[in-house]
Amino acid sequence: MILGKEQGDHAAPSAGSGAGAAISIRGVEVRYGQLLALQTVDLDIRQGEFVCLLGPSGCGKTTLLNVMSGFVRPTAGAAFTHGRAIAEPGPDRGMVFQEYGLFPWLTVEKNIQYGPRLKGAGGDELERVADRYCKLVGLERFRKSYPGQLSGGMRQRAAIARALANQPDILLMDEPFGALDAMTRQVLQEELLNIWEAERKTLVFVTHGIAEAVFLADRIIVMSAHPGRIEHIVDNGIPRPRDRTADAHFELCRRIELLFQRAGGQRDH
Amino acid sequence: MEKPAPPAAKGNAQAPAAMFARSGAGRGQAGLAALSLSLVLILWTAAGHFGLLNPALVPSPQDVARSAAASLRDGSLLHNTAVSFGRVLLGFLVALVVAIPVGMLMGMSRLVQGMTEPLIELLRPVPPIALIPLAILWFGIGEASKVAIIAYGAFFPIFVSTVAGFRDVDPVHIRAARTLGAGRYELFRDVVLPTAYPQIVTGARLGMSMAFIVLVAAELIASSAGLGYMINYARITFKTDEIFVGICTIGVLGFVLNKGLLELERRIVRWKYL
Repeated sequence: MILGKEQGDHAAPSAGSGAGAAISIRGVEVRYGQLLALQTVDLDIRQGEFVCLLGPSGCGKTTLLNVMSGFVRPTAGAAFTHGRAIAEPGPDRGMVFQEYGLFPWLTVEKNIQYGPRLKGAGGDELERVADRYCKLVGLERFRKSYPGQLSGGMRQRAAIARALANQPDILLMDEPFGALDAMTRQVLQEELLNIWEAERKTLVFVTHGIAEAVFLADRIIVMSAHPGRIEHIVDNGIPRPRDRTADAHFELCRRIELLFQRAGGQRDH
Repeated sequence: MEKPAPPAAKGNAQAPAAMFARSGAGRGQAGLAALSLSLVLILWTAAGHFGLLNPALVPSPQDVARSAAASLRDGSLLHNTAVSFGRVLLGFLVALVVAIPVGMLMGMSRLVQGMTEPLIELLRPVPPIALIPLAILWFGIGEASKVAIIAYGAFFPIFVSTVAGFRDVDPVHIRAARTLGAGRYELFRDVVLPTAYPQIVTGARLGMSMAFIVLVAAELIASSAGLGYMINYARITFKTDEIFVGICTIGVLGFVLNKGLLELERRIVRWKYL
């Protein structure tokens, strides 16, 4: 983490070269045929930063995430990671999906070992990888289980462990807790923060939950739909560890809620 | 930390058939099967005993058993079974070798699919028996025509399952593998094949069953050995008890084979039957 770019140093998008940024989005626009899915976006994400892309469906948040992952080619502009242009998905950008995406034919440990195995890691090393990441997400007892034997929350832990075990610089998460019940979601949010603090990854997290974004992120990219665009960028200065019941938490949730209402109001006129 | 789902309950919900076969309920079912079988045998014997059945057309179970023992002793039953089994296996292998690659290409390529699907769909409703005259003209009356008929019958179940297997690849698995560093070859090896594999195995099992069903029809072509020959020859010599022996042998063999393959399938694709 670059100490000089700590919280409070508002990264004005489009300023600077973006060479120092973990992810840098430059004039990116995405069209699907006639549909403008994402209006011109400029955004820098700092190394080690936790950023949430927040907005209703159709706001282009997943499209923006997929530009970062390399699954979507922008129709204009370009995305960079550490100064290199993003052309396709790569192991430097790990991904976690709402549908988990675990391979059901592999056990939890084999799923976790998949990335390192592709890189040529051998027996002992794979064993250490499985040890470390099963422990990190609390799945030691389920190493030999198949995904089909796990609850949704446990599957998502395994998917997070698999993404992290591949040692990516950046972790991209597409509504990872969207399919979980509220209680499990809160537990996993807290664990994700612990993991993020321990692993020091740059984290981009797509969500439509305001409270989730306020609880997790350093910076919240508030997006709106028709066409998908960035409405606001909100710095979240609430000190960590955070408290969901604190006034500051509710205050920021309220502020963002108002931003959405205003954006909706403008569109109606 | 949330609680894991209780494994037993989950297994029940996901694979009721598998649970049924292995649990106490399975033993109960086996008991029921034995009961119904003995009931049929008793009724059959009684009906013969009271003159309700013409023994020339429907021999008693005892006659059938005697005939079976005799053909076991002189080795003819074993020989005929072995010959038939060889044909089934050969036809099945031919079907496997053709159906899997073609099914794979069709499942993975829209172009191949567009070109081959109409052809296959036109052929599919044609029963194997309808192809016997053609098979004789093309392959003669020797082994080749019999194997060809069996292969034709076994082809479609294997083929259809294989196509479905390769077509059902989950896009999120592809995406996950790509972000983990998989290239084209690794995607095929680590995602596409494991997805298709269980379906191919299921198709193979169904194809094997179909091979048995087609067997007798194939052996109606000028054969000198095999269970189909045995049944047909027994008709000519009016030995109904031997017809029954042949039919029962085919039934039992097909049943045992299907059960065995089902068990094999459960073992090699264990993750599907958790």
